[in-house]
Amino acid sequence: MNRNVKEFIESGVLEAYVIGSASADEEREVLRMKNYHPQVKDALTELETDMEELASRIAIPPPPNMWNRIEAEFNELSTIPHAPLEIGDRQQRSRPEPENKENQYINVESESTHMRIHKNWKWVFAAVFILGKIFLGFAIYFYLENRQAQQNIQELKQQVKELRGK
Amino acid sequence: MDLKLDQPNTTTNTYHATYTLYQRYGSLLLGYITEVLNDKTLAEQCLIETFKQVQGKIGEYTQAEGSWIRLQRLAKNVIGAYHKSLNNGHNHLNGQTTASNRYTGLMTPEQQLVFCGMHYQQKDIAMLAAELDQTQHQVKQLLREALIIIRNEQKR
Repeated sequence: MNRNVKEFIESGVLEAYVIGSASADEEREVLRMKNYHPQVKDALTELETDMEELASRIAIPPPPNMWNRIEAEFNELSTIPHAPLEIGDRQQRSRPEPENKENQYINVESESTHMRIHKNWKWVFAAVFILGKIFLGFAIYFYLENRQAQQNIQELKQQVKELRGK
Repeated sequence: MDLKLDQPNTTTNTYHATYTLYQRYGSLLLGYITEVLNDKTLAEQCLIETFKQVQGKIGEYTQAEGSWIRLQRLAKNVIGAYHKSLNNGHNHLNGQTTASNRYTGLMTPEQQLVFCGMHYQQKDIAMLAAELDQTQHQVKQLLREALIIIRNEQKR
C-alpha cells in the first residue's frame, strides 16, 4: 500500500468523516482519495458498515402510524410550495392557505390502486349509506304492499267471476 | 451497506424512494435519535422532520454508497436544531447512553469523551481538542481507537 494512502487511512480523518465531524476540506479530500484509491474506499465502506451495525444494535421499530405521519408532512409540503421548514414550532405554526386552487392537489402519476380523499367525505358516505338503507326499507315495504294489493285484486276478480257465473 | 435505488425523477418515485429508505433505516434512525435525546416523543418528531428533509433532497440519500452515513448526519443536524430551539442554544444532549455502554465501557475516559462527544453530543474536533487540551490530530486518533474497539467488539 502506498505510504501516503496508509497514513491517510490511519490519520483518523475517515473516522471523523463517517461520524460527521470532518471539516468541509477534509470531506472533499476523503471523497477525492476514495475515488483514486480502492484501499481508502474499502476502509470507508468498512467504517460505514461498522456505524450501521452500531446503530442496528440500538434500533427501535417506529410505531405503526409513523409512516402516515411522515406521509402527512409530505402532503403538506406538496400542497404548500416553499413552506418554511422551521423546527420546534410545530404547535404554533398554522398552515398557510394555498395561493390558488390548482396548488391544492398533488400531480402524481400514480401506480397505486388506492386513492386518498378528504376526511369530510366520510360524512357524505355515511349520509348516502343511511339514505340508501331508508330507501331500501321503503322499497321493500311498498313491494310487499303492492304484492298484497295484487293478491286482493286477483281475489276480487275471482269473486266477480264467480258472481257473474251464478 | 449499500442501498440500491433508482434515482427518483417524479413525485411518485420520490415517495417510493423515501418509503424504501424509511423501511430500511427508520428503526435505526429512531433508535439513534432516542439514544441522543432520551425522549421518545421528541425522537419521533425528529424522525418525521428528518424524513421531511430527506424528501427534498432524495437524490443525495439514494446514491449507491453511504446512505446510512448521510441519513445519520441529517438526523444529527435535525437533532441539533431541535435541541437548540428547545434549550435556547445550550447543548444538553445525552452523553451517557445506555445501549452503547457495552462499547464505551471498554474505552479509556478520553476515548469515551471523544466518541460520545462526537457521536451523541454534536461536538466538533476543535471543541474536543480544547476540552482535552490536545491537538486535533490526537483527537482524531482517539476517535479512531474508539471505533476500532467498537469494531472488534462487534466481531466477537
